[in-house]
Amino acid sequence: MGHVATQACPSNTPGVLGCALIYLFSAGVIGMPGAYLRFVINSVRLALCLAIGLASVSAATLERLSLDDMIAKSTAIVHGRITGSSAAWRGTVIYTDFKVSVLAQWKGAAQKTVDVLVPGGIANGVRQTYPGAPEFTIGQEYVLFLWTSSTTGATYTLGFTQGVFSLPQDSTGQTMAVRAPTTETILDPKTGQVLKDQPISMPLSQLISLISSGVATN
Amino acid sequence: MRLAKVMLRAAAVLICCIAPCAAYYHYVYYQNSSTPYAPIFEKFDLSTLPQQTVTFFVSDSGPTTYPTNDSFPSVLSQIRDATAVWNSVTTSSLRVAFGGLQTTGTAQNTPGGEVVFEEMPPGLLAFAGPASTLTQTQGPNGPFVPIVQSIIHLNINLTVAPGPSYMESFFTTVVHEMGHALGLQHTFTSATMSTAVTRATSRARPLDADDIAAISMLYPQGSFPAAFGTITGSVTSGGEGVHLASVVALLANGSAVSSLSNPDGSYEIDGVPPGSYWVYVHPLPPSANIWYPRDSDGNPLPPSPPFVTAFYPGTQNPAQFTSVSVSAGATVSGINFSVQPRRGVAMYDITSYSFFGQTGVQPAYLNVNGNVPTQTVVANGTGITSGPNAASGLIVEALGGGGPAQFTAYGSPDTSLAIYLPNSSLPGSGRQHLLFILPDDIYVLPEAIQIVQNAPPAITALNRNSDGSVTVTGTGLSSGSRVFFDGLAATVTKPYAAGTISVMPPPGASAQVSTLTVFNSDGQNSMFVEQQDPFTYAYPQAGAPVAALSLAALPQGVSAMVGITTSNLQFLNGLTTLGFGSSDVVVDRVWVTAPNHLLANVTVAPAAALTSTSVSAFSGFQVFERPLGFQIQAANPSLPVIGLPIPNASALQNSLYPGATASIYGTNLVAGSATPTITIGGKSATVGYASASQINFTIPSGVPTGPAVLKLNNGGMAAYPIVLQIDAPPPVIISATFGSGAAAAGGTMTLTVTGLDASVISNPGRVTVTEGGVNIPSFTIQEAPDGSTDLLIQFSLAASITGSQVPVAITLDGDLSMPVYIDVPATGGA
Repeated sequence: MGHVATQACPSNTPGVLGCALIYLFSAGVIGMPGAYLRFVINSVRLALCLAIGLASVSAATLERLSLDDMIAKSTAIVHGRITGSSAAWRGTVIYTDFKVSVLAQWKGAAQKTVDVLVPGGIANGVRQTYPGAPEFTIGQEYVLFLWTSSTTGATYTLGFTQGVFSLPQDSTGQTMAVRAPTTETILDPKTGQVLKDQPISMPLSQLISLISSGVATN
Repeated sequence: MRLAKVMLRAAAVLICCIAPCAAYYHYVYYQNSSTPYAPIFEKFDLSTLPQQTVTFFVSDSGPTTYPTNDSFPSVLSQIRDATAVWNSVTTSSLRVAFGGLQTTGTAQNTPGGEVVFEEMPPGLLAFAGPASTLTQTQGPNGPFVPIVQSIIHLNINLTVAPGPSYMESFFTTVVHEMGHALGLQHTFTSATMSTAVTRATSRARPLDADDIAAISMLYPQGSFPAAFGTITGSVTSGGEGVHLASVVALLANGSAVSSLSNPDGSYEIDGVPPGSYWVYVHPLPPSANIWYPRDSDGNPLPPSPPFVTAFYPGTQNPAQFTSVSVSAGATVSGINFSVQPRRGVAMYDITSYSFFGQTGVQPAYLNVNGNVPTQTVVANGTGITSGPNAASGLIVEALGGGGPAQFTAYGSPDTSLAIYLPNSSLPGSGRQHLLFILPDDIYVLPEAIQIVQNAPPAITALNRNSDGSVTVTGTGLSSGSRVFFDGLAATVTKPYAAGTISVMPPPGASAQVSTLTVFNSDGQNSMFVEQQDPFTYAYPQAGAPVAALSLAALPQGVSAMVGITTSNLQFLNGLTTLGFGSSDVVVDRVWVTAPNHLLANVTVAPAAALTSTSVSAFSGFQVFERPLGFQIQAANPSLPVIGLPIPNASALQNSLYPGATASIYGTNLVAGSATPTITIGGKSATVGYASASQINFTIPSGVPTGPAVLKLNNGGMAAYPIVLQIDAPPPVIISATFGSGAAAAGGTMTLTVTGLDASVISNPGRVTVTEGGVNIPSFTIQEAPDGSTDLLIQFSLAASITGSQVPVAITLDGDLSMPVYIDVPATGGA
């Protein structure tokens, strides 16, 4: 569901959605000008509120994580280079284990390497495919927001591709941090509404600055 | 990640077709690197699936955290319903079944599906996909890559979306993920395989035309593709083929079917229902999450750069859109696009909403009878706004809706558009698509608006009746309303009348509190207006279900009858499922013989893993499980084995009935020169022919309709008994009369028929009438006026069929009557 509030919503009880009133303004209306438009605007009044996803909020694969969320919820944040991979069955699922050589780290216990598990891969003559799972290139560098399970000790990226920033260079040679948006459903964790995942692209230095200040705050 | 090469079999691999095949939304491989491209798909190998059925099992460890009033039985019911959705596609030969609970790690050799619950990292709630071999297999429709297993991963914590499990969103999520598991990828047509950003399906309509086309393409049967049309063409840019362009055929006020182009830009859209379509091509959005096709070396083939979306014949101006007419069995070729490149995709991931009081619903539902002059739809997404304003130069209009609509941008930081549509401009029913037009691009949101004629249903009262049923009172109810207890539909005991429906709650788990939702056939449901405080139904406390099984083990390759007697578990037809925790063990059929007893035929695959599995039984929300309660043993080479199903020896008959000849196919059916014996329901059956692999026998008279136990002894050893369904004999035509006194082409004929139960009067689809082997499409059925149980079937003889001894016959549920023969003169008369 779309969250379209122009006013801040009141604090929400967990599981209960807040509510906001939206008033249509006559300014900024586009389309047919004139009296008809003003009539329409003045005669139609919407009360739009946050709502739990209903009806077609489905295939809810991902929960939207803001940068602040990712900083807070990750157990480690690293700038690393993929140095290798191997795939193996873990129970009934093939996971590909990517070896990451840590070049810089802003959160979590210092480590020189980290193994990041991604569902899917090829093992023992079988290929297991999960659309949307991050795909890494050996030799490439990434900024990774990682989460290690306290139960199993396995480490994953946050929210599939949400926690993966590739590091291309722009036309001036500056290293950028880019995260492509995902079309898997992203739900706002507070409201449960469908949100649009926006692409993120910024200079790597800016991302590092945001991470550092976020880690310090947390 | 190193990708292994796709290894080809030693035998020559045939290209599946010469003309470009649909590079559909499947998992695709290409054997060749030049035109014509012949995609190879990942799919289940039907020849390895028992009864062509992929069975989904649910991990018995289940979620660990539930929201209020949610439960594991409710989760199971939704997964079971999702299998029924995919199983309902009649143009797909793949059957999908719910297999019950499974202990994680159970060894099994037959391909199948699994639903597991896992701790997931923050931001990840569910995912699914197939596991396939690396070697291709040759199938009847060409080479393919066999799926050996599919897994759906759901969050172990149902307090996060898409839970709670009783919400429609959980159900549609599972249906979507199950589609991935069956071999489907994302589309951009607002179908179930579209992501939820644009998806317009619902519990009332869980699959759309694109989904049906996609699954039927993989596993075609029946009227597919003959009853559908095909659109082909190419997408080029600067003379070069455009790869992974999405070409969409869009029906006005209806659905869309689509395909992705091959590396050379060629495309083919199959499974298009007949009609007049607008066809457009758009680039994949940056967020497409498509697993790219692989080349012959296993390397991914990425899409071509983005381009400007265009409608056929190459325009963004709605006034210039040209429709394409599609007929059944015909191909419309040459629908080509020459597209203009652009730096990036301008608009994507646009969602439409409407509001019911304080609740927003996606997609937008507009009630054309709501007595408002103007309807409002809210949209948001990438590219249609710029800061707090609408994107510069943006035009919004409903496709075919008579011109640009007025709209307002509002909200910050997430700016949306409120779009105003005059009620008079809306069609009376169906779906409407929205166009978002920028000076240099266009975006189509298929099925952005669902047109309805009524307000959504709402429950106002719930009353328990003395017979255990519940009367639901509300507004917006109708004869088409269904009442759901959590994720299960309740059986109607008193049809809708005067604002009420009475239903029998599904069998519930002890102390379960079930959330009620009313679903209408127009896609609306009571959660539109009651989500904050829905009605609930509390089941009473009860003891834990207990069950006794007649069999705890079977050898490989054997079919056998299993009986289950329970307490605290009430079996009901249509709500009862039995499972043996492994895709190597198939439940062929279940008969509920009493509320606490059922019989089932079970088959163990010849190559089944030798292991112990769980047994589970379900009725409504009541669940029984016995972990490791069933053992698969090594095959006994001496054992007589009855193969299932047991068919009527006549190809013209579907069912078995007293006096019919049936055939058993199996092994060791005869021991040496001994004479095998067969009893059915305790009565001896006459054996007409016997060999080690086949026995023909006659169903004895006096065996009542319903399940009957068949026992076979090959003269030395008894086979495991199996259950046989005995039906009534086919109908018999006892007389025929003619309106004009004699048969005449085009004249009226009335058949007096015995052996038809009166229920066919209200369910005539069970009956067919043929004349000279040709189906008579229209006929009436009524009771005979003499008060007998005979029925009269009246119809018009075909105008084009004449001759002597023309056979006229009827079928009931596929069982053919003996024909009557009539002489139909060319000019009429006796």
